[in-house]
Amino acid sequence: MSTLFVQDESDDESLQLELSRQIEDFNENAEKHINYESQILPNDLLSAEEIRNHPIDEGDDEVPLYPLIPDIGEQIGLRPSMDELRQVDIQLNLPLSYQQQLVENTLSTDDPLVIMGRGLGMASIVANLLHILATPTVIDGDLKRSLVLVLNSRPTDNIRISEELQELSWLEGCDKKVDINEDEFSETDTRPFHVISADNQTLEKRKKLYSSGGIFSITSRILIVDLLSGIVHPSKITGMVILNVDTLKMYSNETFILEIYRSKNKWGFIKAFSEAPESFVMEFSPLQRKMKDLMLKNVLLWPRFRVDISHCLNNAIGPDNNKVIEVKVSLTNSMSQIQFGLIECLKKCVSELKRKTPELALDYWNMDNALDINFLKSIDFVMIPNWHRISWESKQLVKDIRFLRNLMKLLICGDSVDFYEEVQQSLDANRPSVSRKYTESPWLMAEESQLVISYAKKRIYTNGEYNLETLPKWEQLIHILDDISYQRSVKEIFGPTLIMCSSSAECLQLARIISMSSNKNGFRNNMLQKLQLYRAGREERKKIAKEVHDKEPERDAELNVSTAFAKEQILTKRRRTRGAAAVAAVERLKSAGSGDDIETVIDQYNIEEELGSVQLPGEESIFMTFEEETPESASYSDSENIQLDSLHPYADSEVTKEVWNSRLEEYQYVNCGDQIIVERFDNINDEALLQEIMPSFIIIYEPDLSFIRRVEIHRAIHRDMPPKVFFMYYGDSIEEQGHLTAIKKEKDAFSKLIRENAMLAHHFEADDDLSHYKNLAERKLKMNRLRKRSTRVAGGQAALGDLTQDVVIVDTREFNASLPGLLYRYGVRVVPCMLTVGDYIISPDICIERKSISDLIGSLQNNRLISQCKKMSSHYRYPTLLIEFEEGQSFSLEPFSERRSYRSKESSAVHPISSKLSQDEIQMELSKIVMRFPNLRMIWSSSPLQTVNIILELKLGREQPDPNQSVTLGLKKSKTDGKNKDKKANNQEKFAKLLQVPGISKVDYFNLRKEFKRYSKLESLGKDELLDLLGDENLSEKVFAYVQQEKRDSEQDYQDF
Amino acid sequence: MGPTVATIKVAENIVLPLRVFVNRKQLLQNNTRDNSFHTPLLSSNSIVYIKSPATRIYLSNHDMHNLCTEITTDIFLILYELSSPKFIDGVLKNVRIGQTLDFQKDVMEKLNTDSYEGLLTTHIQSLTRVAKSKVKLHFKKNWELDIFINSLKKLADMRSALLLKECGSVVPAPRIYSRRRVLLTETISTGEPILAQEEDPSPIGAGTATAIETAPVIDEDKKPSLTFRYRTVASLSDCIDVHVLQRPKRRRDPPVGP
Repeated sequence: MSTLFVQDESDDESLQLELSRQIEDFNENAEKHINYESQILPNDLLSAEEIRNHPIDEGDDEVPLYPLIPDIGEQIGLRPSMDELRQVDIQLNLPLSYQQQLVENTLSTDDPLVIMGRGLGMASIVANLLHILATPTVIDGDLKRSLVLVLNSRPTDNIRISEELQELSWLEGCDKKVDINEDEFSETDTRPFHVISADNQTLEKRKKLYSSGGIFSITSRILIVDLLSGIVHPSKITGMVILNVDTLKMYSNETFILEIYRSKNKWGFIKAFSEAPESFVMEFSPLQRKMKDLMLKNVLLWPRFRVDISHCLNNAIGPDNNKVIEVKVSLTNSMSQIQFGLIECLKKCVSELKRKTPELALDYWNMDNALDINFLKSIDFVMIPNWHRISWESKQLVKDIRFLRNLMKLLICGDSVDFYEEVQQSLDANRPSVSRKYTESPWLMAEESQLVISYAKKRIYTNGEYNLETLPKWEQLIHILDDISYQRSVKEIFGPTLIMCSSSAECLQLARIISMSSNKNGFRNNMLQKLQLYRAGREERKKIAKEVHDKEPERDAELNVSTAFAKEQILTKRRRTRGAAAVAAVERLKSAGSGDDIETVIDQYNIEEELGSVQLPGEESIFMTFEEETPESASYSDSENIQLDSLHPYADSEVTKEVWNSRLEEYQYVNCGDQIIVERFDNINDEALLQEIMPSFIIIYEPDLSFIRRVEIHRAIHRDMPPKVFFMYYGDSIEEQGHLTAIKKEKDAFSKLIRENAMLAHHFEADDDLSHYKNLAERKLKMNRLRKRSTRVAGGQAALGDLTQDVVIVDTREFNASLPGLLYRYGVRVVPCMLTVGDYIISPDICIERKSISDLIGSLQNNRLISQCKKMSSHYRYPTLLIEFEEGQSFSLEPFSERRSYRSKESSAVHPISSKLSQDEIQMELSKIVMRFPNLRMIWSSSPLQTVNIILELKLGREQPDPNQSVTLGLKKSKTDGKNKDKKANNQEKFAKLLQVPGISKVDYFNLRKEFKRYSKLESLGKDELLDLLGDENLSEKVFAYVQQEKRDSEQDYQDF
Repeated sequence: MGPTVATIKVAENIVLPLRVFVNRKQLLQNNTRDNSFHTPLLSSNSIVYIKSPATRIYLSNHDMHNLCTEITTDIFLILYELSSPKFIDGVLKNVRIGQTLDFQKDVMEKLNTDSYEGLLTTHIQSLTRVAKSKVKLHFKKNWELDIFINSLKKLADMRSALLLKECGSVVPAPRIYSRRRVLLTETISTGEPILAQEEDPSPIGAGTATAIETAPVIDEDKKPSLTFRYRTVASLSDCIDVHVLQRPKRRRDPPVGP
């Protein structure tokens, strides 16, 4: 316990050995691999050359009707050739040796998945890696910028990466000046970084950007549309980097993208990163599955206890400089009593839940893991798919577990008034009324709950006077701060003081406490103000509750729990029951502290009197914000107009000399040493941000694993002036325990991963694996062609009709769902289009509107569904509504329609996407729609996979849809005058004639139309440009010949005329 | 190497963070090439040689102070004028993305109406519009800087808040403030070191004594009792980045580069 701060060494020696063995193995392999690669590659290229020289004799019918990704034929030469190998010097910006090793390791590995310990600085490593990977390529003697795509990055990652890359480009720039003085070289040598996040850039612009190359961070939804519609070709992408792999779900767009990428591009790289090892050990061999999903080949593990890292961080600074001061604060008596009560309640709830759902419960659900972050996730993971099958009590138990976890956190972080408020609200909500007798939350039935309640009250009010207990850490914090200030006054220390805590509410609390500390009664005044706030809030709620009360329909449900919770009095006929003394003791316990309702006392108490007229410095900023954080950047998107509020009266005020001077007087450089910064852990999510502040003192107000690592890194980098660290925690508390659990969980996860990695089978895949669904579909197609050639088979059979590949037209906005990706995997051509009517067009007659449940409820409420159905039924013969549940969701409307009973999302028992509509109401609305649109079909599907089956079945024997038609359907006819219309009609007619060209597919036609608004433009086109567009030599020649012919004809006509 | 934050007070109880980046372009020419790692990069047919990390460069507190004082006028010009309707409608509207203006000629003249005549001199040389609401200003006096305004919209909000504050109006909208809470230390010494202080006014070291800190002097015999007060100030959110291109040369020392 003595060293909570640095907990890194794995005591398990064998684990260390295993890891280093793997590392060695790996290094050997890598070397071999490199050799192998250099021997093999030239041959490889040769064969590619041969293939190009002897093109396979393909008949017209060999070309698939709908080329998903246009083959760009000749341009395959974009593949870098090994003959032009050259040396490139790259300047990195990684101060620590392990960081550089990590980058080197990642570079020399084939398609690795890098799993790092938390807080080891992923962003800077990724940025440096990107800088290397985006090294320009020499093709035929020319330098070409590479195109590197970054997927699944968070906005904060993007900002960090772009800053780091900017720094790197500066470094690179200075290098070039010395080494090489070639102008054209430096031009292509830059590696611009673009973030493409929303549809704010037009298609054309994106195309231009892609072809100019660089590093792109793209939302996967956009990239997938771009890939499918041929704006960027996989063979032109140098490589992909996927961040935060742990957050990816099954069948996510990213896996779809990678599959397309790998199917067309065998030489590019894929590198994946994750910082959450825990998520790779939760289910059945998730590591292997993830790797297969993402087409990765190797795993690189970088736990904190890896020798490279611990060597680098542990002894970074000498023992005399190593200034970490652990401040262990003990809980007050009331707090530890409450903590005991909460733990007991939680224990009971968990075991009751296991009892209630024996067939679902996991061994993992026990008190050892109850403090784990993933505990609730694990319960949800099991419970949500079965939500409609578990009993009402179990749902209540799940809710209570969540609530108790919340209370535990609040006990440590919030002050006594906060805690009391939360408990009191739970009590109010569960107060038995005439109509509902036993709807109490189960935790309130455990004996220990009374302990919690009574001590929560006691913290506020005991024996006729206000206690208003303050948190023990506060006092210590002020002592530390004073100590720091004193040190500063003696010796000059440059950096500011940084206080780190977990939430913005806590930041606020601490800022208040610190600013009021100079007052004699600072803490108490603060608490009194909080009490005042609480009172005001309660009045407000009462008022609302009164208004609502009459409207709320009553609910009647009885809790049926085992005797563990039997708080109700057991009625016995005997006058004296056994154990009466115990009963009496419980009674006494219930009324511990103050038996009477302290609510009334709070009401009567005159806080203002005691508070007096305390004026606080800078108070305006203190009460400024209690609400939850909204992402700062959200309100400042680029698309917004830069316009001042016209309401503003001073917008145009003229400036006079006096005003200007008075402004200047206010100006002052704030000395860093005077600053105390209170910040959340989340906001300093990278070591670089610590460096930005450069604190001389860091007070870690509560334990946080990743932040501690960041501080370690920071100290290792700034060895010459390490910050002094104060590390505060409550001894023998859930806080301490939680921290230790977090460390242990991460370590366990890594040891599991190391072992799994050792066992991992080597995986090789042939290019054309016939067991693959997609390839099956392709094979069917080929077989069909073969059969058609033989004339011996009797004609006229339906099975021998023109079998083409299945096509589904999908709205571009639908690519957030996993369905398009799955369709692709099952061999269906997915054509993205901007559809006005419907989401999926699967045949000329069938149009599908897909709705997930939350979507469905939303669009039922705002009537969007009706208008969508209207449109569908006016344009298609079989308008269809597809209601799709998610994989791992219960296939029932029930969980979505439960009512909320708690104010915050955290503690609510209902499904997260529950709504205000009840099940009956949803069904009613749906039947209304069916009555209104009698020809509307409805499909209920339990998962995207089932939907794929349904769609494939529906498509059997039906014609393929036509993208051109689908896009134009439902578009409002533009109001143009007659002449223009004529011209348009003429234009359209000419285009329509193109369809008569043999071999042109509807998709080709669609592409042409998309490219050219006017036919005359097409006429002026050269052969090569057409080839670029269509990607098929034969076809482009035909089209070209046709267009030229037409042109001549019309000229002839003109002359004749 | 990331930026460093310099905090400046722009109004009562309001501070503005500036993120200062150091452009090390000229600095790393003398970097050695040993300790390098090389590996073939198959996707771009090259063998990359990776160099050992470069040295890091910081601005000292003194330099930072110096820098911030030098750009005082310009910061106020940016805060109060560069998001005014006069500037946005009169100047910025006509600037395309990527276009550069001569600041003295094209911008100041339009802003310099009667009230501003002779009031301020700025050393901003040029203005470039980088993106829709992002502007780069090139500054050159003793220091040579690129000042980036990351969001003019944010700046406009800050401006209106500052103007409102000047007029003594209500608390401005919270969204212009960063979530980071900043407090300033104030020292109140209750001992009696006044005499000693007169003899030696700056025991802490030249250039760093601040206005709010009354420096205590330790008496040989008596230990002065010190109390500290911490005052909250509202911190505006990050919006202005400063890239240092050239640092003024020290007078006595041999030139060290920026």
